[in-house]
Amino acid sequence: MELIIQTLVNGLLIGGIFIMIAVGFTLAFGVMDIIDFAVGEWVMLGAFAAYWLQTLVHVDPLLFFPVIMLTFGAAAYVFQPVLQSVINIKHRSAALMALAFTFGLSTFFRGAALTLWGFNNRNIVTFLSDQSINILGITLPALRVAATVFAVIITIGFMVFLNKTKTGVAIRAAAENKTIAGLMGIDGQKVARTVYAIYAALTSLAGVFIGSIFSVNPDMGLRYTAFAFFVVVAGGMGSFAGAIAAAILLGLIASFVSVYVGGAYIFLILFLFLYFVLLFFSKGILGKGL
Amino acid sequence: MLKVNKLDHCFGGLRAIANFNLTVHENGIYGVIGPNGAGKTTLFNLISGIFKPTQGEIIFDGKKISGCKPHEIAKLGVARTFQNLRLFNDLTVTENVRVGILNRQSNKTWRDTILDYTASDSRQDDIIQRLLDLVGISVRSADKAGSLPYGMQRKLEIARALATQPKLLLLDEPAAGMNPKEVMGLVDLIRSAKREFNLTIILIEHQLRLVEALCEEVTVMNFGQVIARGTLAEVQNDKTVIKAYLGEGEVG
Amino acid sequence: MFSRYGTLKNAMCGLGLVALLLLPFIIPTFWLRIFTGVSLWVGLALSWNMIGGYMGYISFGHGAFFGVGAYATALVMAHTPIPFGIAILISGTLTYLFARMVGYLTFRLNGTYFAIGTWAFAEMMRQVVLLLPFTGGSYGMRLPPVVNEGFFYYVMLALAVAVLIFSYFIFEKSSFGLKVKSVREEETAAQTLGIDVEKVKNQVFALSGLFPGVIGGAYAYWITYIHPDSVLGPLIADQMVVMVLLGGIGTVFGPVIGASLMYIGNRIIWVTWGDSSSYLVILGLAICFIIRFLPEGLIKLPIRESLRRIGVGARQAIPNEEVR
Repeated sequence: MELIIQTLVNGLLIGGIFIMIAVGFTLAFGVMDIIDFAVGEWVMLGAFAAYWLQTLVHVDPLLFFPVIMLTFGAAAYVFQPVLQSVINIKHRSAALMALAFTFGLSTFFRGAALTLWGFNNRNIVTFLSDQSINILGITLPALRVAATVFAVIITIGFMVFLNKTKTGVAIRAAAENKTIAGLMGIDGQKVARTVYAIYAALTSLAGVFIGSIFSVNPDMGLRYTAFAFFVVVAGGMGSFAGAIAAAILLGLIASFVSVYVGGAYIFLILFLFLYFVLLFFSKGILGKGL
Repeated sequence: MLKVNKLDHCFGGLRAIANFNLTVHENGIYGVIGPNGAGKTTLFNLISGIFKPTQGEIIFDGKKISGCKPHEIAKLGVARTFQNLRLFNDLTVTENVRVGILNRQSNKTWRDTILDYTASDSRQDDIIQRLLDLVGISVRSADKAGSLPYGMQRKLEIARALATQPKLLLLDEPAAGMNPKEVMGLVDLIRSAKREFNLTIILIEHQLRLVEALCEEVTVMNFGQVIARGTLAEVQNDKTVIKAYLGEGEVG
Repeated sequence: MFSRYGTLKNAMCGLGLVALLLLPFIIPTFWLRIFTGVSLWVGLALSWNMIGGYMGYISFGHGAFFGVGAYATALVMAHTPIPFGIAILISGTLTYLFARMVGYLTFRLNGTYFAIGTWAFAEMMRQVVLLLPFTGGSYGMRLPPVVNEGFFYYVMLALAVAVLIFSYFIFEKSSFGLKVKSVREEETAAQTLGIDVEKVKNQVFALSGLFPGVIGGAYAYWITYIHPDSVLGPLIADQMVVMVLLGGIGTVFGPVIGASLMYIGNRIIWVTWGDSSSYLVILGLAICFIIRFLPEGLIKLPIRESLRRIGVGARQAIPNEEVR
């Protein structure tokens, strides 16, 4: 019984981190109509940013997360027009060209990281590492709790931003219908840039946490790309509630499979699940998708 | 020849076609008119098999075709054009028509399939030439379909549909975007196509000039239902029809 | 057709073929291996082009057919006395049937969803091979080594030429090819013209899965050691996509050009820097640049025009004659 509860808690705590990726990714998909194959590489780069902050500047990366987020956000804001120009290419299969483009980005980032930093694993030590909270025999690692709490705060903050601020409303309008939003005087280009910046910032933050909880290496990206795809697909392509539910579900699957079936089976089961959700529930597990 | 019985079609909660009936006799030209969103194109999509009806049936030549796949219906002899042109833009004009001809050769061996095109069957070329002449675009036969002007694209769609040797031709707003002179040209084109290929035609049209010149019977639709049927003159004087077009309040 | 230009072209083709056949007697083993690799990738790129180029459905999962073919040949040759030639045909048949099944399931999706579906499916296959009891898991599998580079060169060359000829006749010259293109251009219209769209899509997907299966089998026997990451990793499918995009998607010779350039480039980088990660950097950049600046591929570069201008003059005298 305790094991089940522990597994459940672990799953929820992992799911919390995925929420951070899910929210940004879903938003980027909604506004830019793009599925970013490089999402996992943003996670990887976020983790490496934390690692180098710790190694070179000797500060606790977790305390300096706003610096990382701002840096990534700014970089993405600058880069977005390039991506946009690809999305706007006149071609028989423009959407797929954009997909292949992000694919190229992902290959580039991974290759660059491997070339510069090699294959080995590195660890990030933060003030929360090795700390844990015990409640009724259930262990809660402090870092994971912090990550989940962060994810929840950020998600709530984000929802407030989307619903209460002018920019937020513009973003929601653009995600709903770009043409009409454009007619209402919303600058689609600026909205897309903002969204891409937010997405990169959130994903890099997830990278900081993931790097601190597990470890950092240039090959880590692929699995998070898989996770992010899982989240948007299972969530129903563009639905926030669905994406959050899918993120938690993903955490639970990962946690339960590794305890009760074996760690080696996690990816098989995830991809199996992803494939069949895609085939049979194209509107997502909550049925709320586009 | 075509019989539509108590047809119903729903999109989610919206009833796009409701209790629709239509009888089409061989060699006639039938018009379907009605305000935008009345369900006219949905009707064509149901007949050509792109949508499956929620209820009711469609009988063509004594066979039930509702529930059949679009390509099966096409092979039985139903061809159509589209309101928002659906040409094979990256293929040439000739190739567009040739795709229609492929439909005729259903019982061919693999060997034929591979070699016929290479050999460039002269009989096929004749058919294509004749169809392009008929609609009057043979000068552009080597151009990409996407590069043609709008009016020619509409005519190419008709030629492509005729290439399948249909018995029933569905034309979805064939005169959209044409000026009065072009419309009269289209009337002649439809007449001669009908004569030459012994066609039965149903057409959706907003340009009443074309309907008036061609159609012996007109069905007026609104909210997915038949609200009037008869000759154009008859339905034009029908109170419900006027109401449907002008709105409730303005009819005294 | 029988102009001087055409004769010249035929003569060049013949000469090229003779040169390719004599290659093992001319160049050292090191370069022969590179040409074997070029043939391998030409075959794979052309196979992917069937579904990606002619059909217009991007598959990120074609590596799975290559990998399954490689494993099938490895397993057949490890456990039975069946010779190599038949083993690769078995692999091809297997991947053909397998592709039929995958296509049947995955064609419920279209566009981006289809791309993700094939990707998920291919990753699934890699996990399956890692976990199956008889594939050696992450230890991989070994095949009986055969040291005869000339033999493998001819096998790969024959396969590449076979796929090339097949592509040309089926997709460019037959009425089946016209059907396929019409479905790519406008599915709904193709349906209403009497084309069974589902059937055509499934046939093309299965055909484009058949050849990678055979080539995968040949690869396994050539390399003699296969591993889930080497034959089922995402890089296989990625390279197929990139090679086709680089050369020119939906054309016969685009994939040939793309595959040749990419593979030779890969080898040069490998020889120069001696590691594979810098290849990823260049591969990634290449993808981005091609898509951004040359979405139609190298084949659409106006090389022919400039050749004509600088004096392959026979063409200028009769400007209206087209090479058809």
